[in-house]
This record gives sequence, C-alpha cells and structure tokens, in this order.
Amino acid sequence: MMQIRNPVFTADGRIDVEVDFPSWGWLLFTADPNDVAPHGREIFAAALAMGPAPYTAPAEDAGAA
Amino acid sequence: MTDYSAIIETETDPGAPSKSTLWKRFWKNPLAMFEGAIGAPRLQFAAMDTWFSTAGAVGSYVFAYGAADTAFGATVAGSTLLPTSAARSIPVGTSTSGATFNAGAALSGTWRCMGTFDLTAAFGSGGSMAGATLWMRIA
Repeated sequence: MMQIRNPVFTADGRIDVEVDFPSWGWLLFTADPNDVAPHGREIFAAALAMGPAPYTAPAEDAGAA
Repeated sequence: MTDYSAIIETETDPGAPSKSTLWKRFWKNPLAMFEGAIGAPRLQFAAMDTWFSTAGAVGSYVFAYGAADTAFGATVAGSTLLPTSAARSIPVGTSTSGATFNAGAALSGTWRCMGTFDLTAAFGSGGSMAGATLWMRIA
C-alpha cells in the first residue's frame, strides 16, 4: 500500500489526501469511495481510517469581482 | 533499437535443431516489438484494455476548470476540477449580463494540466472571462 498523509474531507464527503506514488512521488489526490479506479477506492478507505480533518470552506477571495 | 527477425515455422518443428540464433530471436524479438522496430508486429487495438475510454479513469482526459491558475504540466487534486464546456461563439452587443456554462461534479484522483489554466482574465470594461482547459488524470 502506498504511503498517505494529511487527509482532509472535501465539501462533498470525499477526502483530499497526499499520496506517495511510486511513479510520481507525493501528489495531492482526491480519494472517492465510488472512484472508477480501484486504487482510488482503496486510498479512500485508508484515508478514512486515519480520521480525516473536517472540511473547511475556502476564505473569500478579496480580489473577486 | 533491437532488430526484429522473424522465426519461421520449420525452425520450431519436431526434430529441428535448437540453435543459438533461434534462442536469441526468442529473447530479442519481444524487445524489438516493444521498441517498435521495423517489421515487428504492432500491438493491436483489440489487445488493449479500455481504461482510456472510461470517463474519469487514469489516462483519460477532461475539459474542466480549476480553483486557481495552473501552469502547463502542474498537477492538482481532482476535487478542485469541474468538467465544463467551451464557448463556440460570443454574441456582441446583445446583452450586458454574463453567462456561465453548466459544470459537472468535481473529479477524483490527481490531474495534470495539459494546457495553461487562467481562472479569470479581464474583459471589456470591468468584466472578466473565466477560463477552462484540458486535463489528464495521472493517478
């Protein structure tokens, strides 16, 4: 199993997590229990078991029109 | 590149001599095929898996917009990307209000920017355009 760290829930209940892929190194990855890719579902289960941090809404962009 | 040299039927018939040149072709021909050597058999479409034609699978592409400006070749988490449309034309002078295409659900996995994504760009007097570009799932 690949190494994962810093899991955080997304607004829709999935999990953003950093994953150490053999080919790429550490990447930000969105883990989804319904991913078409089997490794995505496995990473979701592993990240969920780590107790992800709760979702926090992004701060308002002060420069937005 | 490794040369491809075909093995003929009679070289593998019962009683045929087991020569070094035959074994070398057993060894080197697969290398030549993977390297695309001239004359080597090519991998046919029917032999391939269909991962690349499944939307959202690793190796698939999506036209989408992100949450922040992204350089060509950079990677982002799928949760920041939403599939969308491209504009074919923009009517001029018919409206002063903006319009936005529908977006699909946020994606899974990790995606590489295969264009250059600008979240917004100034347009006209005080207006702005929203960007979208092509992305490829890499993990």
